[in-house]
Amino acid sequence: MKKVLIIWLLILVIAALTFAAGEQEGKGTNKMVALRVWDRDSVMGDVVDQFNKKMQSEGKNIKAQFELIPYGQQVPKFMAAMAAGRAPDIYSLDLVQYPYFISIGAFKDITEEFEALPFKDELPQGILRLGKQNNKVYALPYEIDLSVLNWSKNMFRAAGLDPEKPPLTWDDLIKDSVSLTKDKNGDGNPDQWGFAEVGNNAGSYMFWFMPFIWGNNGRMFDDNGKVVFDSRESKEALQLWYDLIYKYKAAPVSSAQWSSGDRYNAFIAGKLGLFLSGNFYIKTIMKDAPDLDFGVTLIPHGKGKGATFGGGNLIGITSQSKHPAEAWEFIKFAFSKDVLVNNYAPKLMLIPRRDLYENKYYAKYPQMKKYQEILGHAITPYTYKYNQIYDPVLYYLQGSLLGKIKIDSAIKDLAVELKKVTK
Amino acid sequence: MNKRHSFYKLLIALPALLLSLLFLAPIAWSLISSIKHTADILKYPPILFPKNITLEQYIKLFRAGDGVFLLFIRNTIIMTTFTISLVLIISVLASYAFVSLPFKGSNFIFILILSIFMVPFQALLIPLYSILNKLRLLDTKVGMVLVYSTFFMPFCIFMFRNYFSGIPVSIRESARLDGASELTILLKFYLPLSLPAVATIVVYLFLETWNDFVLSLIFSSSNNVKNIQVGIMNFGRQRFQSDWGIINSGSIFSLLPTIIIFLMLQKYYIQGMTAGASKE
Amino acid sequence: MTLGQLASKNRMGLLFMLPSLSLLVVFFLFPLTQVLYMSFQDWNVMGSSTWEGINNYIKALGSGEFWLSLWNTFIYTVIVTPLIFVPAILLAVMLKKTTFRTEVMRVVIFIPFTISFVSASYIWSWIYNDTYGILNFLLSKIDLISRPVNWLGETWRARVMISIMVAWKTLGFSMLIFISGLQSISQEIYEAADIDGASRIQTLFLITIPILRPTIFLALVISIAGSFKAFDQFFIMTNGGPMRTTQTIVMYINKIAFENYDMGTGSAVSVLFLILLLSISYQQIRMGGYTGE
Repeated sequence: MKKVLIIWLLILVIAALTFAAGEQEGKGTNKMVALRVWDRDSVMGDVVDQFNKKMQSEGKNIKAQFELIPYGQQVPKFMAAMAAGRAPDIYSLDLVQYPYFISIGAFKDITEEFEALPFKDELPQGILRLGKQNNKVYALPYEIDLSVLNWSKNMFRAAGLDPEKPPLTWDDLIKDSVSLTKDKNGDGNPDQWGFAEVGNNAGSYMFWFMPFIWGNNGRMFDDNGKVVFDSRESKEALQLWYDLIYKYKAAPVSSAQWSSGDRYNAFIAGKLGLFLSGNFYIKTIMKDAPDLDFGVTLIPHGKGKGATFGGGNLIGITSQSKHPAEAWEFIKFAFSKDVLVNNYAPKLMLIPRRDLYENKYYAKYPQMKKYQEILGHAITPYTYKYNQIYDPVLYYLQGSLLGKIKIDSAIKDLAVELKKVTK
Repeated sequence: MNKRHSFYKLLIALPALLLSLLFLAPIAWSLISSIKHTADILKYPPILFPKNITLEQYIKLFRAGDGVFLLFIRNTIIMTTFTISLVLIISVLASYAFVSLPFKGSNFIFILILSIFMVPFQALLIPLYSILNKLRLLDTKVGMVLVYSTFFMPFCIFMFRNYFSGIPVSIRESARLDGASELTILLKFYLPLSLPAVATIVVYLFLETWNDFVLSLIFSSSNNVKNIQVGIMNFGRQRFQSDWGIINSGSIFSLLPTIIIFLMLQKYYIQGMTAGASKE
Repeated sequence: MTLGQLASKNRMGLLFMLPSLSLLVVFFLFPLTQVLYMSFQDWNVMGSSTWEGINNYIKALGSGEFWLSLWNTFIYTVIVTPLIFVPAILLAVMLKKTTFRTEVMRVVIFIPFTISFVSASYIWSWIYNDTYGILNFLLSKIDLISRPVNWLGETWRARVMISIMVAWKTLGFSMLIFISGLQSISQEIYEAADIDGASRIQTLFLITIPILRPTIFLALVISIAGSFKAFDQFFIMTNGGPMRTTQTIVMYINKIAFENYDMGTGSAVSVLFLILLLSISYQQIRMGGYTGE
């Protein structure tokens, strides 16, 4: 017992010493303007480091500190910080959160600064719209995410399909999914699937299912924000997804319960041929499954044109920031050519400035060319209550894919809920 | 008789063996996955016994973010040590007061302390954040230790109070007659009799603090305060998929110290037991 | 004892409690009063709030989702509690004597408890996956199932499978509490029972469990409070699906407060939840014989 006590005391003393040392480190930055930068993507950490180096070499007393905010915590942590009057200076947050947070005054008006930017017309306008309110600009598109379809050329070859011809229309999608679904070991159950649906998360339905409705000339909101979801176009899109599971048996029922990670893992494992994907998967697929030969295409369309969901982050200065001028200096730096091309392009992340797409990193991959083209198709629904539409979206869409709600009433009831929420 | 005995032994040993396998299997699977090459982790059919093993996933964990994981380990060790010490001290004191120095309203305080255990953290998040900010304790190790201590002390106080009330009143009565101070009675008689409780509580506090995720996630911002679990999830969880290599290697790594602590204390916990019994 | 002595004893007791009392006040009671205050307000975290009266409570109690979440949480607690306690008590009885073998077994059973809930949930959701998970792979290898089972896809199955994960993770801890309780039972009682010719099962039900009662209640209070506060495992493994049937009450609080940005109603649900859990626990503690000392 004595020995344990002595060890314990020793640890305590050492810990106390390092404790004191650690607290000391924090001091001495009093004169500096400290900018707090939050982002859900770690690449921003590198940008912050480069910014600090530049400031140091220019002799400016500005130092940025980066904090990674996990995706699931980006709202709670922001709300807690705002309530305490301690919001970060700069926040790169999921774009769908902006309309609400701008409406409660959480972000600073940067219209003037924006108008002075030489590349302001190169930013994707459809996405910028979420950072605007009453003709004022509060936030700019920074990291772009687009929903697409990946197809496994390996599995296309094995199934006797042309590996260079991805499905473009709903009919193609049905045909290919059926041919890709196979029972290889003959136990009566498919062990490889053509298609998989988007599962247990509302954001995924918005990101991957909505483009099916758009590609069928349907919409969720019209230009004035009115709910126009209850339409034949929406029903047909949902019917297609339903049929892929129950009629054509080309997608597992359970995929209506999967997370995106599950779908990704199935694609990597060679158990899924057509993968509802996004630009953010390209690099990881190449790393996790180097032998997988895959292509990128638009999400198949019905009677309309192929569509994609414009997602990602906007970046803005919070209204609680005490150093808005320095924060703008940081944002300008983050949008500079060197920063975007050297930090984001090598990771094959999509950059916000269209004038920078012709770069040596994208040039190496044919898939990236496709993205440049797809960017023009991007649509993002606009609503103040984005988060509140999440819950009914998941409930009704997943419910109908699990066979618990009839398709017609799912669409009708969801439209009613949407009207209630956005009223 | 003997035959029957060995039959019993076999009867007990067989399910025990199966049971151990069952308990270890998920962890073994995680361990196996943590020593695979990245490309092998998600292969299907799953590779149960990988031929080429590698420490790649562990190296990735320690290299992530310029090796900041080492700093997270240091932070976690410091915070865990202080939390355990603080909670042990304050809960022993409080429990002793509840048992042998009760006053009007002390039972009510006890219920209040227990109710800490009943509140989901999500409910208190925003006001707690504001208070830490006002006290300038946000994003500091001291603040983390105090929050941990608050949320983890109810169990410990409950446990000690339980143990202390099992100790015969005559012990403290006679000590008081001898003129011993309350603190002396606590340290000389009550504490030595409660060593098993101490061992259980140290294990409990270690696990709670070491494995904390949400509290650290919300209340810490700088790398000087973040803990191991936040580190693993920061490196291992990306927006739409996970780096299973890092999640597995991280889980296995953070498991090691907890197992060691338990193995160490399991012995004392038994010793404390026998010591307590022999004094009666 | 004189009055002065009594007063000094009281002061002494208060002094001993002071450290934990200050933590209680600063980091619990004070935030709690704010939650209570917020539950009567409409507040968007920026700027001022407006008085709402009991509207938030009416909104919460009138929402079907509130009752559904409560029901889900209750059902989960009912499933998971015996899954933890029955094996934990049996194992504690089996492993109460300290030999090399029982020590090894104790460690093995305790190991899952040392993993964090977040890690465990990820590892298990990977194991449970119907298409590439190892559970279906192994079960089909030994021909126990003929088609892949969607473990987390159906309400009841998901509840049971998550409960199994939780039992796996936590029963080692309850077992330890029971062992420490069992070891304090004097051996003579068992010897006497043995002489009387009591069978093992009789001993278990007539001696061990009654004597263990306070310990069992202690473990029950902890376990039930834990089940009521369940969040991580459901958030990660099912995200409340299918159709909100595995959405727990804490997930619901999280959803109203941070997805719907409605702090007022979120706080009102928190207050209701606290009252409920406190009254349940109080009953348990009373039944365990902890009050009135």
